[in-house]
Amino acid sequence: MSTSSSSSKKIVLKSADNETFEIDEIVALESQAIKNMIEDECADNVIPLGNIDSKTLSKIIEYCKKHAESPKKDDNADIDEKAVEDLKSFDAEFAKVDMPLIQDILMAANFLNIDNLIGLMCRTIADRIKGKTPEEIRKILNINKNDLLSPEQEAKAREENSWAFD
Amino acid sequence: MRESKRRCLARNKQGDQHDYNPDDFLSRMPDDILVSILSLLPLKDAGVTSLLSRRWRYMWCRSVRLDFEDYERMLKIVAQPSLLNQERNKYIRWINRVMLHYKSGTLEEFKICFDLDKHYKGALTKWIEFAMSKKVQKLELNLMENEETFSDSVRNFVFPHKVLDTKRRSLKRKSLSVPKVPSAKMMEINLLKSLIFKCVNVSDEAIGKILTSCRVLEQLYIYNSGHMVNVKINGPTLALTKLQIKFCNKLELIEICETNLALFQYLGNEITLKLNNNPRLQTLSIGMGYSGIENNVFQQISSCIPYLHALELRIFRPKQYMHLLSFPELCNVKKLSIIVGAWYDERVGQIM
Repeated sequence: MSTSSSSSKKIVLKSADNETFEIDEIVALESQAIKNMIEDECADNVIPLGNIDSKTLSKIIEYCKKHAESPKKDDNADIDEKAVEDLKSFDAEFAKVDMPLIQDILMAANFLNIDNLIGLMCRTIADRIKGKTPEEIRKILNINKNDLLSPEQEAKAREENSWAFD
Repeated sequence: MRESKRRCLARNKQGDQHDYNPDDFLSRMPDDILVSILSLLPLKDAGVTSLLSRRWRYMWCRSVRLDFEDYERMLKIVAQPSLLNQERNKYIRWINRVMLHYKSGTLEEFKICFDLDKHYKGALTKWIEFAMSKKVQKLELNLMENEETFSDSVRNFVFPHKVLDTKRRSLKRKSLSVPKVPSAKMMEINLLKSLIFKCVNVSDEAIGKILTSCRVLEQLYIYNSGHMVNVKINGPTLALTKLQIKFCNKLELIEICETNLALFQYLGNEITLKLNNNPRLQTLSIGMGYSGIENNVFQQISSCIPYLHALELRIFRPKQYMHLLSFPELCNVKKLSIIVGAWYDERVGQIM
């Protein structure tokens, strides 16, 4: 702690691989889960996130920082079109990562309850599987081979949902 | 051998438990997340996921968006009009099939988009009732071939506004191929935020009923309704903020008083416009009659000009109608758009 004129309170997050990240409270509040912890006063100085690794956590902090900084949509105020555009292009860039990381971010965002980020990751996954065959999607999502349908089940599903395979 | 292994694993039908596979992240995701992803996919792509695995087999049935848009089928009909009836039947079967398997209790969006006319009243009414029984938030019926033109409204499906009567009994089943839906008593319209009708005949009475029964309705778009004559929208308690009315060829009057409307768009023949006391109306778009600025447009919108931030005008045949163009002072307008439909001998620059 340096000179205590720090107008913004700091929060420390600790990843599964024991790396710590000091961030402004306002950034941490993007996470509904952390917000609840702080409001209920059950957040210690350091919040351990035992199921999120440092690579994923630093991505999530990058996202929360950007979103905390940009002006919030307000019903009465004129929405600043430029800020909206800026955030959109940030999101588009942010999502340009490989599928395992997208899935890690999605799981972590779900755990931390960050609505916008969950939405962004779901949209990214949806975009990547759109127009693909079942076989291609299985590969993209790395679907568990032990959970495949039997040939009879597959034939029945195909028949039942024949409209999807026109 | 492989077969017996599969059978052994087949015990958890809907996939409550899973064999742990550290790389298969998605199978560790909660159902909500999978449903969110599916709800973002076009319906056909969502249907394809039924083949992915046992976990995914019935997941698509919980998608909260049912968007029955099928451009390929529509293009097919344009190329070969003789296929119309055959393709219509296929389209109807598709929707009925999906409704039969659908599992979610709520619907965020339900969209029908196909060339269907009044002869399909039975099916269309059932679909609307189905959507309402699922507490739909956004309902769109786009039954037209071309939404940007006047069409012959005589063959339009008529919006059965009786579906909004909550105490009414369920309609008789018109066709056995249409799945049964819960009785109208259970229907919820309290969540309906957006209603879009294209090539549907919505009457003045229906609009009145929509506005009184759908208390949270924010957005109402009506294109090509042949049953609208006098539309009156009135009252500060309405949630309505966006209204679009286009190509309603019998229309004579639109009266909008003391509303919370923020956006209003009108495009069509010349009518009487009464816009009084709508202080939130910041975005206005008008194209009226042959020239687009027929019937003293500027005078008709004069009462809302002080509030306007954005004004869009459509002007057709500018050479012929230059004399009608006398702009009033637009004191707060930050964005003025003029869309001009000019012919080869006309210079758009004349307006400037």
